[in-house]
Amino acid sequence: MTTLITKTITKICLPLVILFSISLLLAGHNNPGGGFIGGVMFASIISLVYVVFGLRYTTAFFNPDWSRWLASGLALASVTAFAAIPAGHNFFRSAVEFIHLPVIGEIELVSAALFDVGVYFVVIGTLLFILKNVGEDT
Amino acid sequence: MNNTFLSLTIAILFGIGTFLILRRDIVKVIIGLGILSHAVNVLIVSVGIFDGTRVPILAGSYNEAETTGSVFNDNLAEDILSPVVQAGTHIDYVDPLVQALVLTAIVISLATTAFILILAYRIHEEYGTTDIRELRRLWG
Amino acid sequence: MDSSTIVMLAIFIPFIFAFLVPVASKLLKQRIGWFAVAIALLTLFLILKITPIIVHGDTIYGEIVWLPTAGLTFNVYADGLSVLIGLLASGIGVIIMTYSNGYMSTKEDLPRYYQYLLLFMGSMIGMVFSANTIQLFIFWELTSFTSFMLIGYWNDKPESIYGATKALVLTAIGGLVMLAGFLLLQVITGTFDIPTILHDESMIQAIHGHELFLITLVLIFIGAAAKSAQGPFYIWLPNAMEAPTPVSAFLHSATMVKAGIYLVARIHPLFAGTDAWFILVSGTGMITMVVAGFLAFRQTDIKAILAYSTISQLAYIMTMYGYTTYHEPGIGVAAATFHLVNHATFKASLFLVAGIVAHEAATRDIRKLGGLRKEMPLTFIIACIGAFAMAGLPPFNGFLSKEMFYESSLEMGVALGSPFTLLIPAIAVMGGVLTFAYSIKFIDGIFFGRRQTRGLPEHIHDPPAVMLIPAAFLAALVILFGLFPSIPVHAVVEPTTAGIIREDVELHIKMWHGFTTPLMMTIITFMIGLGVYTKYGAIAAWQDRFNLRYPKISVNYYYDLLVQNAQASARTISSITQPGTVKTYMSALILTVVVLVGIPIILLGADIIPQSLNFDIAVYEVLIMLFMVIAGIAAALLPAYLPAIIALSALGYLVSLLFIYLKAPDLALTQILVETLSTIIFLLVIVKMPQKFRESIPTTTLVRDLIIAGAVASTVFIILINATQGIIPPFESLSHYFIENSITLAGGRNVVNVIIVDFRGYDTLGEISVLCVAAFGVYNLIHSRGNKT
Repeated sequence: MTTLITKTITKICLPLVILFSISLLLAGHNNPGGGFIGGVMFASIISLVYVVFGLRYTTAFFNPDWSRWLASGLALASVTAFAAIPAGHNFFRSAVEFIHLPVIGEIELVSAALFDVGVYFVVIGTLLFILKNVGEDT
Repeated sequence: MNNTFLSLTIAILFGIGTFLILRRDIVKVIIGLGILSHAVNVLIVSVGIFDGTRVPILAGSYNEAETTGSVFNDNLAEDILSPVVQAGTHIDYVDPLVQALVLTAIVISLATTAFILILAYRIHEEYGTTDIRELRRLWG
Repeated sequence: MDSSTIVMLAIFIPFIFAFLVPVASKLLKQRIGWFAVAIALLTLFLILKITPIIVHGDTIYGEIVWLPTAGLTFNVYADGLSVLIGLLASGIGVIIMTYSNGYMSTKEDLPRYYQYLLLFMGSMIGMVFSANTIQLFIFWELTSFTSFMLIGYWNDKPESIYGATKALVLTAIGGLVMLAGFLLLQVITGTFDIPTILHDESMIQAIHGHELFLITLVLIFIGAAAKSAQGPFYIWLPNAMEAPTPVSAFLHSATMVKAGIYLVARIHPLFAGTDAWFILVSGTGMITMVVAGFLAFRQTDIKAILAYSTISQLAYIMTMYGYTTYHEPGIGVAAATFHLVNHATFKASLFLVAGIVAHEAATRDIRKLGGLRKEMPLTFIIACIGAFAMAGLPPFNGFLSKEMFYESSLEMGVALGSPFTLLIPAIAVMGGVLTFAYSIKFIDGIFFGRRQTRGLPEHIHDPPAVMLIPAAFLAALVILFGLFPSIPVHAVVEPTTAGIIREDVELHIKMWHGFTTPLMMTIITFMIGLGVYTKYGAIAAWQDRFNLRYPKISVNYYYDLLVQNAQASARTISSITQPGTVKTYMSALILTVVVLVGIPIILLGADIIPQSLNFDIAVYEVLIMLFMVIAGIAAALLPAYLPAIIALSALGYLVSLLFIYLKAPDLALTQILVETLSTIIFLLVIVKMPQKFRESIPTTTLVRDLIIAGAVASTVFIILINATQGIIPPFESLSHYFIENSITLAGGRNVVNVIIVDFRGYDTLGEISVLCVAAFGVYNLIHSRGNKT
């Protein structure tokens, strides 16, 4: 697996795929995509890096604590869910706002998107946490 | 539209999965569970395309719902849901609800598959075997 | 702020902050106790804030609509009775948590301790302010649960575990019986709402006349008796003394055991005024009062003396609430309510004294203790105040409520006529005599007599102020309520009594009210009590001999027998139902499904296969399906792990192709990525598991498994073709709603995603929680290796 070709391709792919995963996350409300898909996409490119460069080599310079991602994602999702209650709405009530910006045009802000970001982080955190723990285990 | 070959394929996958989870080797059981979960996912999605022909991504502007396609007119609109669904609503999408349910199921099945794999691995490490009958004997 | 909002805050604040205790303890370290004190103070303040409304004679009602379609509301109701117990729970809570700062060693797991204390306080307050019986039941069981956790706080001691289990078993079973009673009450009245029933005279008449009256009363009363350790249920309370002493003072004397009393007082208007009420409540009370008072004698542990005395004192209150006649349903209500307040103060102070003694002298055995009055003068004074109040000596508050007890007993005796005219007062005096005797024993055993040197520390002294002040404060209340009874009477006893007997009450309680019959009874009590105390040794010795000779005359004996038998039979049953082989479970599960689906199919007969089947299909779709079948068969038949796993992942990729054909782009994307990750994890694990075992399947097993698999496959096939190609679809899809409203309500065009994050977001929250749990499960499995024994 660790031929020069795969290493080079992985290096090139890494930023592109991460950008793609973020765009999947953000596009999710209107096009195919969303937190689950984006999260899995992100997890798969990182796992590709782990496989190609080796876990030990990668963690020497890139070693986030995935359990924190998982926890913060769950916290974010729960907060968005409960945030409607102090505002006097039902649990999980979503808010939609349309904003007109001069150059970009109409932008749609949905509070459910924040929930989706939470899902994104939970999926990334869970999958990579599992993968890293299994991989580190000797 | 749904068809008989699809149903047959799903049924065969169910049969294979069932056969595998009755095996004595834990790894085979896990593979069987994997096949079963594929079969279940496809089953759920396949029952959702009963009427529809289109991907459930709406066209049209924010102010009006999609108005092209076949006329959807059934007794649903006359019943308790009449304030929600007007008679004559145009709907020819496939059912999005089943897709949403399966989407989460796919990701969760990955996590749970990982979990049972590690469980099997730890059992193998502790007892030195993956044979269920042998394990049963060791546990007494 | 709205007064009903204040009540709800008083319920929720302890719960919310209980969950913040672990966080706070990171900042406050060992001073976490003061955090809990602050919360309890805040709660007390909130309840005090609504007290003037109650004193004024009004009640408070408020609700939060929770699930209107299911008829679920969270509602609160505050009247004198609930405010009284609420004040006790929060007020004693403040005192106990302050005291705990000195009592609990800093080496203990303090966050857990204070967390459960706060949770208990919240559940207790929630219970007394509940306006419907189901909510009351939930909080009721929460108090049982927190009590279980606190009794078992030292979870390495087998006695603690035994005591905690016993308390949970008895009080939780009592709670379930009570729930059955509440359901019957709903059958009679048609509502779960407490205030609705209380304020509707016709409903109360309906309850009295209903044929289910007796059974409802008995069921609810069993719950109350189990909680308040009355009748045969008393056995859990002495074992509950394994809890830390502040917990015993708080839960098992001042508040939680009062929950049963609360319930009796709460249902008093519904059931009182009948013979059944008097016989059940007063009868149980009187028997318990005498028996528990008698049993308190032979106890050598000072906390056990207090435990039995608590049972006996609660029985006083129970007896008084039971005094009822048709014309005068609430003879003893005022006295009972007043005694409830008084008992909370003097018994809590005595428990705190017991805690101080145990803390300083390092023993609770009354045979080793003695002569401590010179070394612990302040503790001695507090103990005397508490014990004399319990014994009913003037000028303490116990004297006043005991007089009222005698007075109401006389009144009840007269109302019932001969032979009860003498019998009931005589039983009351008997209870008083025993109380007097063991109160004196408590003081005498600890503070008088010879100072032992063996088994006691050399220097014993008064405790630090943080332990002394709470006890002293309670003792001061004992005197204050004794000298100026109008303070508590006016503030809480009168509104409570008025709420129970549903008419305005004005009580005039004075220390000296002439040379009356109750006073004579008190004097008789003291004289006989002194006499009994001189024979203390003989009576205790006789009890020990009796127990030795007849071990079967004991409720504990039957409880232990029951628990042992239950465990043995549970083991027998589970060895049959849980043989332990996965294959058995799987076969049973699969066959059940097949049979449950098969029976209707056979019953339907001719309609198994729909008339018109759709065979119209493109070539590439057939190819995908063909490959899927081949991959599946390969995964099943390839004996080595690695090829089988590759076949499985090939199947997964084919499924993602199929999803495109099924018009599900999101699923296809997810499936293809997930399959990649899943294959990586499979391979990572499999390389560590060399394949040693290769199953050779005997022909009979093969045939049997193939039959099972074939049955499953044909069942699924028949269901599917019927579900997807039957003539009439059985029901319409829910999705029309989602498609219609996706843009207008949620502002998204991708309906699948909108359903995930918006319409069914609660599901998704649950699902990502499952993901987290799976992740930590994997982590723990991998890291569990170090704990191998």
